[in-house]
Amino acid sequence: MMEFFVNYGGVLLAMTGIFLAVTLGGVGSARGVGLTGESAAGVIVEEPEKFAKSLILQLLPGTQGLYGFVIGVLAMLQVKAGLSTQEGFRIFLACLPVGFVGWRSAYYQAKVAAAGMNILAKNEEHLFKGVIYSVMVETYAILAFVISIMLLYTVTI
Amino acid sequence: MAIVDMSVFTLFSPVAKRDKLLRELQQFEDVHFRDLTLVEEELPSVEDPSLAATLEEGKTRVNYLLTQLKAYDQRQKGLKATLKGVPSYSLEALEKKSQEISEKELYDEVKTLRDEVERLNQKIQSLESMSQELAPWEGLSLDLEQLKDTARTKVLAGSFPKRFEESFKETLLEHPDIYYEKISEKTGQIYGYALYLKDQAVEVEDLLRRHGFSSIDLKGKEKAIKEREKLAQQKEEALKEREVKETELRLLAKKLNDIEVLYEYYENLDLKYRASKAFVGTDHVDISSGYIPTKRKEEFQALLPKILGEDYYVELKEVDPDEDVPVMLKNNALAESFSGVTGMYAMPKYNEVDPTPLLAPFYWLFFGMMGADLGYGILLLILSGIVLKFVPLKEGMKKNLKFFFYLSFGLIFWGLIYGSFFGGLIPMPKLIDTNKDFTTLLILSVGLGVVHLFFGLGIKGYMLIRDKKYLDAIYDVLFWYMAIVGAAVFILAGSLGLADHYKMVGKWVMIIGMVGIVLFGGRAAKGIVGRLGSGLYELYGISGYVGDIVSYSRLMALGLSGGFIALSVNIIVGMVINKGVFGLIAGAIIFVIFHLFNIFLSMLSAYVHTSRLTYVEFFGKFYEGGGQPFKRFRTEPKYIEIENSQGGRSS
Repeated sequence: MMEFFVNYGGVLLAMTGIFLAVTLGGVGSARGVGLTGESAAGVIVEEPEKFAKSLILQLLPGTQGLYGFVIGVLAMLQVKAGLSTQEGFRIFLACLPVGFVGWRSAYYQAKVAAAGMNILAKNEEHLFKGVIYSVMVETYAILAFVISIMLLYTVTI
Repeated sequence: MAIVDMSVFTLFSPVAKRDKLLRELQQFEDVHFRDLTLVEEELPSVEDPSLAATLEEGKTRVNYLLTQLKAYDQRQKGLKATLKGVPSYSLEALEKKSQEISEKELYDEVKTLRDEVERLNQKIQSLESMSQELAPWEGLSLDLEQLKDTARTKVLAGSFPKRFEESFKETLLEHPDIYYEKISEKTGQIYGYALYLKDQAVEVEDLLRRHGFSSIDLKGKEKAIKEREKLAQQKEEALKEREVKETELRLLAKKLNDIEVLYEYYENLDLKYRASKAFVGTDHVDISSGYIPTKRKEEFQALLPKILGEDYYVELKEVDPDEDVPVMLKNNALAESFSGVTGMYAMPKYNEVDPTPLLAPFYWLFFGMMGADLGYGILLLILSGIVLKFVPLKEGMKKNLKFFFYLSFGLIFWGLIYGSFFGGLIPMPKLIDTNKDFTTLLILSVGLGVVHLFFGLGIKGYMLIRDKKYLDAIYDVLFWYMAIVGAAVFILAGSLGLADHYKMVGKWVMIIGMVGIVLFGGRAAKGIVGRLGSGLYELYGISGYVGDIVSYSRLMALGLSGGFIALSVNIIVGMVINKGVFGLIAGAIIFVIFHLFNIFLSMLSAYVHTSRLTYVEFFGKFYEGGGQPFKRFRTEPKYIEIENSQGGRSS
């Protein structure tokens, strides 16, 4: 048992990190895009010509999943056989910011974007203000993404 | 900067020439009327209610024609029609053309035909439902008219649910004096008729009802099957008749082009009518007022005698910049395509600067950095270029496309720096390696952010100096520069390896700036305590700068995320592509679909986030907005182009 962890512990830890980065971000974004999609459909019932604009709002919470995916790929490039436990743990930790922040921020961002659908429905010309409100939330996912990259590539133990 | 200077005019003109005046001013285009009814309370509005009624009537008619004939429209649609563009009319031609169209006859004709079609539709529907009703009775061997009451007997036709069939049969056995015949069975219902003595009617009908029997009144004379044939024939005739009417309608739909011209004519009339609603006056004199660009002042003054002869009086003066003057923006073609970015936020006030040319270079740079890919850029360049060249577009659409056309160069520029072509499909020399140089990228992003923010702050300084508020420029701009630059030098001196005296200088510059902000930042507040308090609060705003600067890290993040997704697509394609022919096809499909998806998402993110940096971080430093846009005295035609003989537009 001990031996197993000594030999494979690094790889396992790194993989767990990749799992968390990709899944948490993906789940958050899926939920967010779903939520905004529902309210987009509500707008389109009456005014189908607003489809393209509703798509902008709908896709806003989709980026967290992409950030998670990118970190997952970047981390994967560092995984190799015989990865030390320390290195594995570093990769594991590096994946956490983007995973957790992405997971929650996608949902919160989606709620703002869904509220923005009201702007689209009632006062179309000010739609972009709704977009900006929603993008405010995304800032934190971006910051987490940047830190995850930094942890992966510039910090060495 | 690029806000057009305005003059305001007040014009007294004869009522008799109102129409001519409006018509000519429509050619002039650059007039934005002021609603005098809001200013002048003494004089009544010159609104003409009968004109409003005629207008309303005409518009209703035209709209009816447009909606009713739409279904019969057989003109070309889609790409071919788009490539052909829309017809172009001058205002005179529009008026002349609309006189030629006998609109009322057309309306009556279409209305009659449409009513007829509607009537036939209803007839067809009722014939269908009658036929449907008779369908279960086709097995009936009697003529329908034979199912009639006699002096002593009664007949009741109808249906009941199948689940009562057993109990109904049993009941019948108990009542041999009821004759019942089952005709057919359909969708869980048993169809048939009962024959019984009138004396027993109450009893029998109660019995039937208990089994869920509901009666049907069968109309017709002959056998059901025969009746249905007759109905089918009638329906056939009605269909033929409808086809005749619809052919006529399709023929009339060929006049849709004319009707669309008519629509624009009424829109035009409506515009003039709405303008006249802003006039006040007496029985003989109209008073109107509005804004015109100052540089067309002479032209305007020369135009008036041509329209009005000598019967007018006009007063022209410069506007007061602090009033709510309508704003017209004028930029060169390059900056003009970015004006949508400004418009999306808010038009500047008349006394502000037009931020469009100021935001454009940064917008271009940031968009490129976030979408950075040579391949994507070239693709966008080619696509937007082709559409711009070959497809005739409305002005607004054209502007949007030009916007993306110019932005594509930004993508190409950064694609070259990152050495990325479709996510590294072709190896290229990299100025900045997105796989390694994360620190460089982050510093670059933040550095660009600082330049952006300082530029914004500088514009604020420019506006203050322009308005001769020199002290404000020092308090609100210079002190901030000092505080931030000083702090940056002071903090970073160590890690940059600068000599100690730099650090000292930085420290003192920072302190002077900060003290200045505390002392003068709150100069609007009353009392020394309040003033220092709000000064301190102003200084606390420095934390906002930290947030602003960090926010620019998205320049790096979005560029990387798009780039790595492209890279992953290529890795996946690489895995399948050497698995024979099948793999080749699959690889090609994956490549195209996923790259298109990534292009779409990257462009969307780049667009949204660049706008955010512009609106929140950059505009936050100097821009307020909220001016009312200058409304040209012209319609925005939907179906045609209106050309202007006087070449009215000044931008």
